[in-house]
Amino acid sequence: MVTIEVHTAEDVIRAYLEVLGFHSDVLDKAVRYLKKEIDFSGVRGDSIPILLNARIASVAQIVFPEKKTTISQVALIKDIFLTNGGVDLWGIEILKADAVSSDFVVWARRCRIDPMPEIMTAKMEKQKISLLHPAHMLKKILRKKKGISVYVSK
Amino acid sequence: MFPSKKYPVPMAVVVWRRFLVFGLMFIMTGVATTKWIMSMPSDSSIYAKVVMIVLFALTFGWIALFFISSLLGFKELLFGRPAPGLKMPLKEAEMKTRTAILMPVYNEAPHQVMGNLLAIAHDLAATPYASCFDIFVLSDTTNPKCWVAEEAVWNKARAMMPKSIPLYYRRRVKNTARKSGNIEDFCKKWGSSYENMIVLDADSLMTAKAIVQMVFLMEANPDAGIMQAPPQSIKAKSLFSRIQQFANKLYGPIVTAGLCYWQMGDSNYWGHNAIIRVRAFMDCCGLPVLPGKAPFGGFILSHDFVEAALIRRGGWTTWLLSDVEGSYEELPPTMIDFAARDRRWCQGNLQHLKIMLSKKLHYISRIHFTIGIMSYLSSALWFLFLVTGLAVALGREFFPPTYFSQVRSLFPEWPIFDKMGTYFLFGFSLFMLLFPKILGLIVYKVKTKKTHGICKSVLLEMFFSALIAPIMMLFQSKFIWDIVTGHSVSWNTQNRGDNGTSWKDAFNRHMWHTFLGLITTLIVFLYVPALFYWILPVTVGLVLSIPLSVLSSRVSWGNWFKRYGFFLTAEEECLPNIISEAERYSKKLSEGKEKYDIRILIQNPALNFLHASLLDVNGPSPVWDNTMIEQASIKLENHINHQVDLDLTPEEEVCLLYSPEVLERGLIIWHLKQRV
Repeated sequence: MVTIEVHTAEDVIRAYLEVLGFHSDVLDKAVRYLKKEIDFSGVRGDSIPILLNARIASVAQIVFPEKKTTISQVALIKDIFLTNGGVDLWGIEILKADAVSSDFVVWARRCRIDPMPEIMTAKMEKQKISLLHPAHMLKKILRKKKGISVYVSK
Repeated sequence: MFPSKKYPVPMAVVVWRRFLVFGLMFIMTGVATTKWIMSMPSDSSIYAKVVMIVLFALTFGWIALFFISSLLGFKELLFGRPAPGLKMPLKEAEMKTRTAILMPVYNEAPHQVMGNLLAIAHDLAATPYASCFDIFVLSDTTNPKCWVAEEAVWNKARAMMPKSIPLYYRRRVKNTARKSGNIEDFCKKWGSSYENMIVLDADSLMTAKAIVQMVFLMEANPDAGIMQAPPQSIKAKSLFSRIQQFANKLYGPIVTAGLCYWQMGDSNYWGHNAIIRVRAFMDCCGLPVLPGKAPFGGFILSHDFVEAALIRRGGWTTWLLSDVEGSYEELPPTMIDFAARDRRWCQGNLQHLKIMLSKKLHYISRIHFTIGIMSYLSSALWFLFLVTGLAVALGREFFPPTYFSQVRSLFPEWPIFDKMGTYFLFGFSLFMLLFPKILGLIVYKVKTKKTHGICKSVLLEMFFSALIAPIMMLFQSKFIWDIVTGHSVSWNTQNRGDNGTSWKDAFNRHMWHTFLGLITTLIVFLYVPALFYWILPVTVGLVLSIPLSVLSSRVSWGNWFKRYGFFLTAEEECLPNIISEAERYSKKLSEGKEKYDIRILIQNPALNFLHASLLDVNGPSPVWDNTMIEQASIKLENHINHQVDLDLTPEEEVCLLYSPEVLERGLIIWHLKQRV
C-alpha cells in the first residue's frame, strides 16, 4: 500500500490542506483548528486523510445529500471548494463539520455543475426479431404437407 | 404519441417512382444478360456458362441500380423539387421541443471531439433556439489514458461553453452492445426528457442551421421517426482521403438525391448526423442479441440499418434529407484504415442476412439490407466473375475446341463467340460507372461558383479509383471469406491521425495483392495473350498496391496536389466557419500538451477531485481483486517516492482509476514530496 509514515502528522495535515487550496495564514489557522478539534495522537500517517475526509464528509452530506457515495460527495465538495476559490471566500468553513454555515451550503450548491442531468428512468423493451431458420421453415412445410394428407385420407 | 397509419406520400407517386427505378433496373439487367448469353463462347461448359450468367446478372443489376438512381438524382437536383410527403416548417416558427445532441465516443482524441462540440454549441448559441439543446458526451472509453484525458478536456471545454447550453459527460463502466448500447443507456436514463436526439459520430460536425432545420422538420412532421442529413467529407489531408473527399463531394449529391427519389419516407439511417424522435426510438429500437456466435450472432454491429427498419416497422417514417447542408464527417486517412473500417461494416452488413427476412419488416427495409450486403458482396461477385472468365479462357487454351464431334458430320462445329457483343457490354458497363460522375460534375458546376481545377481532378480521380478498385475488391472478398469462415472483428478506434502508412505495414497488408497481380499478369501474358490488355486495368492496381497505399497515405502528397489545384472542394476553397471554429477550439483545448495519464491525477488536485466525483455518475464501479489494487498501489508509491518508472498495465491503471482513496493518498504524498 502507499504509505506516508515518514512524515509528521502536521506535515500530512498541511499537505492535505494545501491540495484543497489552503495557503499562508489560513493554512496555519486551519492546522491549529484541526489539531484542536481532532486528537491525532497515535494516528498513523496514512489514516490522517481518512479522518479529515470523514470531517469533510459530514459537511458534504449536508450540501449534497443526493450523491450516492460518501467518496463522491467528499470529492465533489473538495472540487467545488478548490476550483471556486473557497479558501479565500470561506476560510476554514469546510472543516467545520456539522457546524457549517447555511451560507456556505447555499454557495457550494450554487457552484455545482452537474456532469449529467438527473436520471429519469424509462423502459426500452428489446424488440422481437423472428429470425429465419432453415429448420423452422422445413417444419412449417412438413406441417402443411401433413395437413393435406389428413384431408386426403378422409 | 403514436404515428398515424397514413403514409404521407400518395401511393401513386410511391408506386410510379419505385416501379421506374426497379423496373428499369430489371429491364436493363434482363436485356444485358440476354446479350451476354448470346455473346458467350458457345464451347464453354454448361456449368461455366451458368456461373458466368448468374454472376453477370448480379453485378450488372447492382451497377444498373446505382446508374438509374444517379440519373433520377441528377434530374431531381437540377429541378430542385422538395421530397413528396415531407411537410416544410413554417417560417418564423417557434421551437417547441427539446433536443439532446449526443456524441458517443470510444477511445477518441478528446480535444477534437470537444472542439467540434464547442463549435456546434457556439453556433447554436447565436440562434434564438440555444435553450432547446443540451449536449452530451457519452463515453464508452476503455483506454485509461483516454479516460483521464476525456475528463480533463471535458472540464476545460465546459468552461468554454456558451452559458445557454450545458455540456454533459458520462462514461459507461461496461460498454455493452457498443454504440447502440451506449445510446440505449442514454435513452433509458435521460431520454424521456427530450423529444428528439441528434446522434453524432466522434468526427461529426454540424452547423446550427442544419440542426435547427432538422428540428423544425421533425416538428412539422410528427410521423417522422428518423431524418438523416447526408454528411459531407471534410478535413482530408492525405492524398487518399482528399481524393475520397473530392469524389464524395462531387458524386455524393446525385446518389443521395437518387436514393431520396425512390425511398421517400422509407429511407435509411446511417448511424450519425441524424435526428431521431426519442419516443419512437425507445418504443421500437431496443435491439435484441442475435442467437448464435459472432460474426453472425451476438450484438448487432451495424445497428443503424436495423434501427431504421424497426422504427419503420413501428409505423414511423424515415427520411433522407438531401437538401440539408452543413452536415460533415471525416474520412479514414489511408487505404488501410479505409479497409479496416470496411471490415467492420462488412461484418455488420453480412450480419443483416439473419435479420432481413424476419417478419413484419417493410419491403424497402429489406431492400436497404440487400443494398448493404451487396455493397460488399458485389466485390466478391466481381472477383468470382473475373476468376471464372479467366478460367474459361485458360480452359480454351489447354483444351482446344472440338471441331468434329463424335457424331460424324461433314461440317465442323465452329465455336461461336460474339466479340462485338462483349465489347458492347464492357463499354456499356463502363459508361454506367462513369456517366454518373459526369452528371455529378455538371451539377457541381451549376451549383458551385468556385470550380478551380475540377475537370483535371475528375479525370485523375477516375484513374485513381480504377487503380484502387481491384485492391478494394480483394480486400472485401477476403473480408467476406473471413466472416463466412467465422472470424469476428474486434472493436477498434478509427485512426484519424496523419501519420501515414509505413512501407512495412503496406508490405504486410498488400503483399498478397501484389503477388496475385503479378502472377495473373504473367499467366495471362503467357497463355492467353489476347486477354493481356483486358486484364491490365485490374492487375496494374494490384501490382502497384504497396506504393499506391504508402504514397496515397502521405499528407505531403495531399498538399502537393492541393497546391496544384487538384481535388479541391468548395469547403477547402472557402472554409466554412464551423470547421475553422472547431479547429480553433480543438487547438485551444490541446494547448499545454499535458500528458494525460494517472500521474496527472496525483499532481493536479482539481482533476483528482473531479475524477473521484464523477465515478458515481458512471454507475457502480466494478469489483477489483485486492491483490491487483495492492500491486498497483505499490507501483504508484515507488514511482512517487523513488522515481521508479510507472509501469502499470492497462488493467492496473483502470483499477487505480476506480480507487479514489489510493489516488488521493498518492496526491498527498506527491505534495509532501514537493514540499521536501
